[in-house]
Amino acid sequence: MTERTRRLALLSGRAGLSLLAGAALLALGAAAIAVPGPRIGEGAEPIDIVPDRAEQALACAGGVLGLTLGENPQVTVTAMPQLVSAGDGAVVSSLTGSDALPAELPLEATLANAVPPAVVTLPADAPDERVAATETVRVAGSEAAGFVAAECAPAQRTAWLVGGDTTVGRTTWITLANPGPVDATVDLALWGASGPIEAPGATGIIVSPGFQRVIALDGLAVDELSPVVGVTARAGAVDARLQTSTVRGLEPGGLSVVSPIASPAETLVIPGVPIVNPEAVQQRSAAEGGDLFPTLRLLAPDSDADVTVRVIAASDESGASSASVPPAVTTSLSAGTVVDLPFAELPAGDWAFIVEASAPVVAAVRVSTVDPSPEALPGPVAGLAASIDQQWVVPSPVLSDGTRTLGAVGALAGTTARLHLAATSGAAQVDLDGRLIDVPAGGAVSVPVAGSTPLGITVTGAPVAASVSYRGDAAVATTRILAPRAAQQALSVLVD
Amino acid sequence: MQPLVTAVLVVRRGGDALEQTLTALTHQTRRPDRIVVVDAADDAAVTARLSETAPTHHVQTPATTAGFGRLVMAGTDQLPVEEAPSSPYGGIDEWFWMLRHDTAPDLRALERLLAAVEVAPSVAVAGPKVMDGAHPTTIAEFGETLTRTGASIALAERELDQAQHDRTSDVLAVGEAGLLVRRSVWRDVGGFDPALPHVDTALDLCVRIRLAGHRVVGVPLARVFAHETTAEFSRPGRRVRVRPRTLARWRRTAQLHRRLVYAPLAAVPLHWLSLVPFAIARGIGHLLAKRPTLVVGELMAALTVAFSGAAVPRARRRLANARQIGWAAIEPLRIDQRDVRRRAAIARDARRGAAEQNRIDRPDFAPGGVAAVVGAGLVGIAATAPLLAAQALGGGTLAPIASDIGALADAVRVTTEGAADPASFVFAALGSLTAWQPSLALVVLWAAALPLAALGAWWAIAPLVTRPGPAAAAAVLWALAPALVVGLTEARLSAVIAHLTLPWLVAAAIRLPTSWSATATTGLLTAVLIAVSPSLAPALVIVWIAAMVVRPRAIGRLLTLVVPVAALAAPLVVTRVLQGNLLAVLTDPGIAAPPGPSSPASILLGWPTLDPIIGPLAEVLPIADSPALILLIVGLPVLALPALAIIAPALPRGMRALAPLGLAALGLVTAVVASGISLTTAGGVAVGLDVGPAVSLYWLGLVLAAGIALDRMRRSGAPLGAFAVTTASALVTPALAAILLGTAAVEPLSEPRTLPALVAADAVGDPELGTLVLTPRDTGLAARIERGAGRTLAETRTVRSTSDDERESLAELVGNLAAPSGRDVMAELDQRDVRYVLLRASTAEIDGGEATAGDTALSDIVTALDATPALVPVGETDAGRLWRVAADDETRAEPPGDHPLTTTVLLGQLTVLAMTALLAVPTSLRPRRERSTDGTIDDPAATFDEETDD
Repeated sequence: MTERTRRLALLSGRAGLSLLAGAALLALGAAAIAVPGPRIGEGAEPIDIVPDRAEQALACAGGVLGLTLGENPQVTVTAMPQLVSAGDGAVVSSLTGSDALPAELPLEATLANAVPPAVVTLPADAPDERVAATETVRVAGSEAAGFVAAECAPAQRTAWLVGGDTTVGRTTWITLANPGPVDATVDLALWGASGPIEAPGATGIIVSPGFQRVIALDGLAVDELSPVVGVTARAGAVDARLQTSTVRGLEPGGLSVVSPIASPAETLVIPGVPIVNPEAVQQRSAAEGGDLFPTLRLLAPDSDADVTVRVIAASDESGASSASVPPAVTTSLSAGTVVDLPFAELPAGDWAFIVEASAPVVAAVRVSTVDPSPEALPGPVAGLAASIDQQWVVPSPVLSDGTRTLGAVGALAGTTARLHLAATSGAAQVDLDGRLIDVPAGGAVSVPVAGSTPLGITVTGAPVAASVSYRGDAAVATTRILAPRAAQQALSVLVD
Repeated sequence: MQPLVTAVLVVRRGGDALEQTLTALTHQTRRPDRIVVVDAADDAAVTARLSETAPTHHVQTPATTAGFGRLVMAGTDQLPVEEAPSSPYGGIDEWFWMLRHDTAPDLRALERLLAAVEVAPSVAVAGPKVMDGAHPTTIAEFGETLTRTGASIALAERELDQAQHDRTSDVLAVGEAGLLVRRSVWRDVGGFDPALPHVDTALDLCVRIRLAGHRVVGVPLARVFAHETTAEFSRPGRRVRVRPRTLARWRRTAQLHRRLVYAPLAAVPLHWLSLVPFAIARGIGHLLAKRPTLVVGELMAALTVAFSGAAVPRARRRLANARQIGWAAIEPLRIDQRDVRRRAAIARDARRGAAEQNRIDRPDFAPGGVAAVVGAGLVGIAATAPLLAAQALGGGTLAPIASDIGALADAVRVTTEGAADPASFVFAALGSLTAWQPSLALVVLWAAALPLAALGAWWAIAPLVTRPGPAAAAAVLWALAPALVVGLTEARLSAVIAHLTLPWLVAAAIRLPTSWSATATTGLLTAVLIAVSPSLAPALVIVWIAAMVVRPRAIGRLLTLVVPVAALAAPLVVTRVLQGNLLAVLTDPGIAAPPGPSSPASILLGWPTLDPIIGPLAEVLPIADSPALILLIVGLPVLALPALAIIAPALPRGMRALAPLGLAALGLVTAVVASGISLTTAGGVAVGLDVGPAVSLYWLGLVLAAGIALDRMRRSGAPLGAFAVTTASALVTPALAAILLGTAAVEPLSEPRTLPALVAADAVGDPELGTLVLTPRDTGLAARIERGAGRTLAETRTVRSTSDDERESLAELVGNLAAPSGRDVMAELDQRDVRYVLLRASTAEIDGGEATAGDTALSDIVTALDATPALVPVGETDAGRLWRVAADDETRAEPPGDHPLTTTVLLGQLTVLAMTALLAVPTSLRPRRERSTDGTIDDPAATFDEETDD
């Protein structure tokens, strides 16, 4: 073979080899893409665990607070309420201590039967999961007078207390009750008419388990006409309330316990605002000042909001309702500034307030009742019984379709109680212990209920907000019907 | 009177050699008076031939392994006893002349031997010059002597006979071929020592004769032509070449026997006790000198002599009976240590010369290789700059290696849970590099990964190419390989170690057939590679078998590769077999973390996962939704690489590129198969096998083949090579920048712990302290119990798996902790020794209200944990939110204890690894390379250059 042909053969042989290698690699690549490889092994599924049912504890507002007489006034309990509890298997106990009942207070200063606030516990093995309780008390004293009613509520991580007043003659206490087993560390944030209030000593408040802390709002927000308190528990959970009491001149009047709102929302429903004898209120406010009119306090804590307030007349069971519904009120709130909107022209009756905002807000309505003809006090000291009572009415939680919940009407002590239901988005039917009540779409209904009884409520249809109001001579108070504890959701746990 | 000479001929085999011997014997100028034939051939033809010569005595013995000495004595026993001399002038001198079937004496040999002894009555032994029968002008052996330590050494061996030894007379000893010994002296010293069957028989006889006061002379003019060596002769049956290791063992056995025989009585127990320790020390010396085949022989020689029974006492008695003078008298006849060293130096030089013939040509490392390595080093340091100040690395599969050296030692033991992963040895070795802070080694590894990869690739391709340019290109392509970049940024430790090990493995494997050091290095590197990525084991086995088929000569060495791999992997394989789950041997070791999604297309492009490159690309180009466009953009620039690899076999002398192409194919197949297999889970997610190491193998094949192609293309390859390197580097840069930008999975840890400092401080005194770590994920809350200061690489074991019951029970505990529950979890927490609960979420995430674990909001979980009476909130830490378990529980569950065999297994593993490492350590000088600046013999001498001219 000549040199040339030999080289050609060699070259073509090598080129052929290279082509072969290239073809093999291409074929391998194509096979790699086209042929699916073996699939072995599978991932672990998450394990869904439904936690064991825990006991429920409702903390009650406790005794009415007041100051001891004498040189060094300290906070103490001046009246113990009556508790009405509802729920199969509910157990009533009390907290172990309170700032208002320290050990070293002289015995004669305290009330004989004063105990720390009650706690209603539904054990984990109780037959039903619903529990409710309400405390009521009528106070007629020289320092404080009025009718107080408050539902017992579970401890929460956040609470908004809209109400109170720290100007002259008005006293407001913040009570923080910890019914749970762990320490709670609480921060208070204060807002007023001129924006957020810097208050030293309002952060890092430690509430021991089973203890009730009492803090005077007057010390934190001095001379504030429209305070709003935001309570945040960094650890643990507390039941936060405001207790307000008013003295006008020498006449006490206007005890109220303000229940907490869980968190700001864009829609708030206050189903039952009782307006009783507005003419007497107008007459009295000419003499006493403007804080007797019905007032809606609004706060948008984080961002500016445009708020629309609609007032709906509540019909009674027969469907009759009062006329002349006032028009909706629209206002703009700037972030962090508390605004008090007066509703002086509201006629007598039961009204539902619906607050709709473009950003989360908190709101509450202050109503007053005036007894035009107070009784004369017996005894050598002449004088009239107290004739004014006030109440801060807070929004009720909205009960969705299918909710079965429990409420309790407290001991009436001379007042009459009514149940208020408001359905904002559609028609609803409420089963009240077998009695069916139709709530019209976008309307409100108020029916009388007996005192010291449990209320079993089942909602069908549109969501409904419910509350109970108590009215009498110089007595007005409201309590809310709370939603039942959310069903235990399964938690997905992934274990390696 | 004429001396009486009896020739003793020992025959083991027939053939031409025997014919020559018999002819020479019958035609001697001075014929022997008697001929005794010892027939140990066991062959009728040989017996018949011997009978034809009509010897005086024909002794028949079976073909036996008895040595020359015993066979001779079987012959001399047949002779009549010496007559006592009656004359006052002395009796007849009787002489024995020892011959073998292969030693053909020169026709005048006996005449000259007798001439030398007749005039010197003090001479008892005379030995001829033994010439090589195949090369009659070469001296096979002439004279033997002892060194200081008692080893036998020939005075003249394998030299061309130029009469340089013709003045020799007195020697210490002579060889057994053609040895002439006086019968009376022979009788006095007791003849040959039967305990020396193979070698040193004549040496021992001559030494004893010397010590009895007689002389031993060598007679250079008498020549004997030997066709077999003494060692070859000592084997019965057909003539077989004696292997060097067998010869070494025989010589060592003989030396140790003689040592015990010649030593003074007081020293014998010392020598006996030191037999085995010296054998072990010499074995280590053999390993260091890269003669591993001699190690076993050393030990066997020591054991044979130590337990040889009565042989030594008998030999000592024999010596004592005949001895007249002391050792000092024959001291001048022993060889000087200087001469021994000179001879060893000459042998060394000869070996080096031979090695230089076989050396592998490499291109110059400077400047191309230096530039590649230094450049890669700078890029590596720049890319990992945020990590350099850290004390440890975390994220992905990374964690602190161990808390201290003690933990490293515990990590490699076999416990009752099962065997340690082979990778624990690798992590322990890595951690002991920075022994003061084991976790720091990871930082060093990350920073030095790119230059190490470049260096390794240069070493791998250097034997295959001749020009420095392609070698440097290959180094850069390997250092900036996508597999390495993905491994560095996604924190895949196994992939990084495998990528760094592969080129060194190839470099060692190329030298494997000619070097024991390379064999041991290959074994160690294979063990490391299989330890960190067991999924490569099938591919490596295929390469191993292919190598055995292609190079059958190296089968022995290739088989020894199994030893270090088996040493590391055997305990784990045994554990898995006992568990009945053999496939789980392929599980990736270390911390299980799911690798990024891989597809066959991305593997073809050389990327284990395309995520690190898609992210940066998607910001620049609108390619988020079209996978085909992504593949096009990523694949097009690097098309040069496979193109080069494929045309490599077409170029002249490019056939050697076929093996790298085969590697690439293996790597591709392994990667595609491995991408579908998942053998373990982490946090409820299936963790697939990491395809990084297999993709590295694929890339290595391509890079090597492309480098060979560039080399063969010479000048015309330079622009193509530059293009390939530039495009590959440019494509990888966005992914490499991830660490700088903070989008990488690897994160620096300022302290070697993954749990909060409070837990770590508590764990110092209590290493079994448990922390329940809760990590929110998309599908739920992942729960895990970590012990001590957090997970460490050293203590992870793939055999440790939770049973279904344990998983359910832990899930129930977590479900009742992280949600409001009525259950008292204190007892369950105590039972598991959990003292802390950690939720891995920042306060911003918790309070933001948006973060969820599955369907549950994080804030709800925090509320529930706060409300648990068993937990005390500690607060926010750098690792998440921490709770402490309220009650103090001092009793701890026992950690998994040691298996009864653990010490044995560990000792065995460490011994094998140490021996392999000793063998791998390069101890000989590198063969010198010709440098072009050295000049050749044809260049003019530099003697009269200007600068050297005085």
